[in-house]
Amino acid sequence: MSEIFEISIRSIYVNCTAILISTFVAVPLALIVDFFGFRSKRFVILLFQTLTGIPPVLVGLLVYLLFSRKGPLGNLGLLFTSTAMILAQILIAIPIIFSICYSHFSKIDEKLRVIMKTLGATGFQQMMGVFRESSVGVVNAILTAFGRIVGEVGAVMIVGGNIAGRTRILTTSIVLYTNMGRFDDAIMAGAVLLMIAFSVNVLITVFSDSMEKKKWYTR
Amino acid sequence: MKKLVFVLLLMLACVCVAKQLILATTTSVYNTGLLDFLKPQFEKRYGHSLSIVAVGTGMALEYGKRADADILLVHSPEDELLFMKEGHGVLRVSFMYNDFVIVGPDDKTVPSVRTVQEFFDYIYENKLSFVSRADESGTHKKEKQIWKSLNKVPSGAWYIQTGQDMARTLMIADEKRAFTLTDRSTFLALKNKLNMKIFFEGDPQLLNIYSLIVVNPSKSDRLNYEGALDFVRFILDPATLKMISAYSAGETKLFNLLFEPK
Repeated sequence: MSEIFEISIRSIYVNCTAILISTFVAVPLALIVDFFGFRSKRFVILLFQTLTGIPPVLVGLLVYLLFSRKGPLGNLGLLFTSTAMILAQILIAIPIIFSICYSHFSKIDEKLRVIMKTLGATGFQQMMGVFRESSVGVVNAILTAFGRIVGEVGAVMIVGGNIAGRTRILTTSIVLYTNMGRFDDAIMAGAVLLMIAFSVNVLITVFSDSMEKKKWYTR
Repeated sequence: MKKLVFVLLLMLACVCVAKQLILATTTSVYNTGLLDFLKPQFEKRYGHSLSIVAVGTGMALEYGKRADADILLVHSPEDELLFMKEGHGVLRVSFMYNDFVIVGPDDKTVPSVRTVQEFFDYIYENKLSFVSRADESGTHKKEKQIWKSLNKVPSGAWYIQTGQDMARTLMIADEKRAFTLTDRSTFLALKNKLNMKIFFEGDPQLLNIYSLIVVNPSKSDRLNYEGALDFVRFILDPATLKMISAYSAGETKLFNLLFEPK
């Protein structure tokens, strides 16, 4: 029982850290790409949209090669650590959050941008305006990305190694228990995983509802 | 008092400095739980912190080549010898074995045969469904070796290649009502969940020998060579060997020793 508790805590730590960092990277990035017009903009957007379909195992393999002792960042000693797992999950989550956020930002009514500009808003204020206007879309993006990484097993298996007491999380333990014929434990771990996913979804939804009530036009 | 603080600080420093020892093992051994059983005793006696990564033999050897693991526990003698010849390892100790068995759907009947070649030939001639790991694992290499000795290349709808680990391959074989080659320990672990039984066993060719390989420390100064040697010492300790040979799942012993502990 203590084993599954310890694994669950690590799962929450890895998934939540990964989703937090990727949100803080991908959302501002999407705002900036949305705000500035540049020549390769289309290409950047297409690239991120393509990367949303990248197989997690491939991400895992690339991160493994990066952190392997013979790899370019081998000296950091990050292979088989939860940091490496978080990094792999960030790489999976960023394209998803970016693409969904961008599609919401780009759908904002042009009039809003024009009004903000005429009222003398700075670039940053305009971006914040776009962001507030599409906060529901941002929440949707985060939840979708969270759903993707919470059940992800291929990448974390390769970079984490599923080491007991160090890098074993719920998804990798499900694989292990299944292989050991301990189906009961596997289902148990699966139930805990779904409970965590459910709780996070509830938390984020409640948070976004309260944000929605604070919008400028409802005040 | 000062001495005590000093000793405590020294111990703390040791804990901080103590490098972790990474053992890359084949999944078939890890899934039996043997290593998790031995791990605390090793850590207590030698003071290393042991991390066990369970992968296929092919991947474990690759970890060794890339210096990502300090010590390997694998079961594919030919590849191991090549690994040693290429200078990736400095010490190889074969110490335990179990065997491969051919399993299949429990309602099928096949004529009794003497060698594994005859059994494979019967499957080939009658196009009985056969599931192959097809993942370059130790088990898959053994299977390929048998087909090669028959001079036959299996192909066709009856020959199913999964590319998955042993447990999932067994589950697929169970669903497809097919035969497959498996190591005995994985089959025993899953036996209650499968409608399968052992059809062929006991041919000396089906011996499954496990070896420890210490990775060449000149590959990277981050390798924990001392820890790897300590792990070999621990495994070869008569007390540990006795624990290994006594280790069982339910009623059945899982591993046999290649030599008698003194």
